[in-house]
Amino acid sequence: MDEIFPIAGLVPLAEEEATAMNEQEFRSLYDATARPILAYLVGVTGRKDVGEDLLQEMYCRFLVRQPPSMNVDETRRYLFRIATNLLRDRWRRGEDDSWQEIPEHGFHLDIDAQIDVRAAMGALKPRERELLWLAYVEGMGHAEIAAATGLRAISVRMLLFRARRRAAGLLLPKRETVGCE
Amino acid sequence: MNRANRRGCEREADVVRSLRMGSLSSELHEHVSSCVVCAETRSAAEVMLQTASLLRIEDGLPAAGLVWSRAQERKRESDVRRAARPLMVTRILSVVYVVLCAGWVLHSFWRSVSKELVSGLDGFRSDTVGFGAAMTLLAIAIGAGYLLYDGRRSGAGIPST
Repeated sequence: MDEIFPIAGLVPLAEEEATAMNEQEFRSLYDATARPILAYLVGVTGRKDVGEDLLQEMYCRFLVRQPPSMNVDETRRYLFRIATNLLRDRWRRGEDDSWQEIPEHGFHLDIDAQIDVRAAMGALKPRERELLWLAYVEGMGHAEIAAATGLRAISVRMLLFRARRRAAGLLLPKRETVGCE
Repeated sequence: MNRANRRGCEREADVVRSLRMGSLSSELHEHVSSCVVCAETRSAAEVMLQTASLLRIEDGLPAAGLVWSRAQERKRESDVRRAARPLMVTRILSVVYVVLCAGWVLHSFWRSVSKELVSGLDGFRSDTVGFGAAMTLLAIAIGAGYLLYDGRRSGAGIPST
């Protein structure tokens, strides 16, 4: 059975104190969700400092808004949604949306597969990186991605198809694939 | 032969699941080599998973206590702003009320003065009415001024976002 995080929400003020998340509950939520979301933020922006700032801002917004009680999966999707909105706000403000190599670890050319990860990540658009990350690193389905990004499921299907095709074109321009129809 | 339309393949989810777990079975490997959709999926998934594997998230994860403290501080600021909202509305309504009262007093005053002029009352009574009206207006102006000053002063103390 899913764990329910007791999050205060649209409840009368008198009940708010009783249902508000306490520090211990927050720590448990943080331990369960922070790593994959920070990886998402750093993976999509390519910048650790930005990822860490956005992660803190995301939890601040979450705790200030205190949405209604949710199970673990719903909370996770809700947090991804806030994280995605923060990324988009950043790009709308005109802040750098190019993907930057993470300096302390770097990236390597995979000789065997002829995949230049760094060049491919840099060539993808921010939204493409978001969708591909959620689909392939987080393993989300179309409906989950829709909930995590605020897009419609049908749009996710189309955008993900385009992103996948573009990424594949960037990564394996010379690989020969044969249709299976 | 597997069926695959232009945008999807029924084995796509299996391919992603296997790649996330670390390897493709020989059967899936064979499928991927003969399916455009799954080959694209594998390429895109590999670069994302490779990027993810290179991140050292544990090193940069902020402490939960720090995030909690910052969030609590933000929440307090938000609560103060929310609590101050009705006070601000009350102040605005007070100013509107004072202005309406001033208008009503002035209107009554000019009506009474014109009646007194017509009936030819003596100067002493006119002076008394004028003095009273002036004092009323002065009191209204002081009250309204204080409300505006107080509102501005307490508004400046509310932390912004």
